[in-house]
Amino acid sequence: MIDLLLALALLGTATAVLLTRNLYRSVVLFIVFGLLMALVWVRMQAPDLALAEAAIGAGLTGVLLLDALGHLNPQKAAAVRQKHQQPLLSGLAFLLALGITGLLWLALVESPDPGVQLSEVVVQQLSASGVEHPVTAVLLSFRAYDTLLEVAVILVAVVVSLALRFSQADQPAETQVLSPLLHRMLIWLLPLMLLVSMYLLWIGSYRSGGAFQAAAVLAALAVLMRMSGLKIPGHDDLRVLRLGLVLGLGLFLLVGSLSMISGGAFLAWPQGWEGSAILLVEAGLTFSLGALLFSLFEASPAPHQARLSIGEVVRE
Amino acid sequence: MLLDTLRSLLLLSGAFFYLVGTLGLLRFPDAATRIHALTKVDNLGLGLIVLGLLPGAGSWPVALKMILIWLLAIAAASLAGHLVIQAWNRVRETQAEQKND
Repeated sequence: MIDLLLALALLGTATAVLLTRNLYRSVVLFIVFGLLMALVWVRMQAPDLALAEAAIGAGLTGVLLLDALGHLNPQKAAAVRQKHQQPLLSGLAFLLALGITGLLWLALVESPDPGVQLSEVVVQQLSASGVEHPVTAVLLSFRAYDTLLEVAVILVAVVVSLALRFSQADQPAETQVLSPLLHRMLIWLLPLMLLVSMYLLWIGSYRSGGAFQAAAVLAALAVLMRMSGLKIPGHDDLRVLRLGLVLGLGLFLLVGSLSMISGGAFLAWPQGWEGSAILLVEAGLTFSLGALLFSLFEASPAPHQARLSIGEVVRE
Repeated sequence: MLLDTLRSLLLLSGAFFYLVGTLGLLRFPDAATRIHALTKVDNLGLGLIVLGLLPGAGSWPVALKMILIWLLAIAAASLAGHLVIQAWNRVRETQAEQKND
């Protein structure tokens, strides 16, 4: 019953996100969609995905989208919407969506019989990985190569967006929310967020949590500090930024190649030190991914038309 | 038995407050009254639900975490409400100025 309601609500919000004319409403609905998706993951007993979805899918992406909305030119936004109403384009998009839905449906109906029960293999090999949580074991031991490439892709994306940012003449806007209450609360909240981030990193070895979730909390902390006008240590220093961005990937590569010295394979953690190696790499990843996610937020240009977002709030 | 009845009552009244709060969010005319509905009623609703869930928490850390979540939700909701109202006030001021011009 709950699952049915959730599925219907998910479909409903997804449709509403796509069909809403008002961009602001669409973004807010997208955040709602992310939160509902997190609930669905919880129902499917995948708390790791739920945490990542809530923190990154709903939280940070929502902030990024709202931020982007603030930079949009209202006339341009209207023009874009006009464009979407062209019958030919929307017809093509509809056909494409229909095709993809059909393919997904086929994949569901005719799912090939897997030769190996992967989850059983994971459980069997869990003790060899050095961590007790299967998700962390898969991410950082059995399929560490995927995670490594994933982090590299994010790094490249952020480097490109930062390059675009630095090529623009305007300085980032000094967004500062002036509120004594906010500052008083942040004194309490920021240490707590840091603690939660470290906690998520630490419990990743035996329960749901890990570098990505911890990094999302860390990035949220930095975004909060940035928006409330608090100084972030090392924020203006480009060397700190560069080092912070590549630290995780560098540590990953370095620790991953350690066992190659003694003739082992790439990304095979040092014998007997698997748990510590994974924790070290995850700590580096947490810091770097936090910096990477925060840089995406920072890379947005100074607002031309900040009035749009506020104006739309009022009209709602 | 008595405990179960009490818990169901707490959970149901919590859900009721959520319903009323959402109704207020949808029906109230402007930002201030909507914030009022959200922050006040939702916090009470969440508090009642947490209170109803506490006896079934099983262990102390879980119970403490639930209370912590409730407190954080209260703090976050009131702070967010305060900030939204501030932004709303600013917008109203600029609109009043534009009208006077």
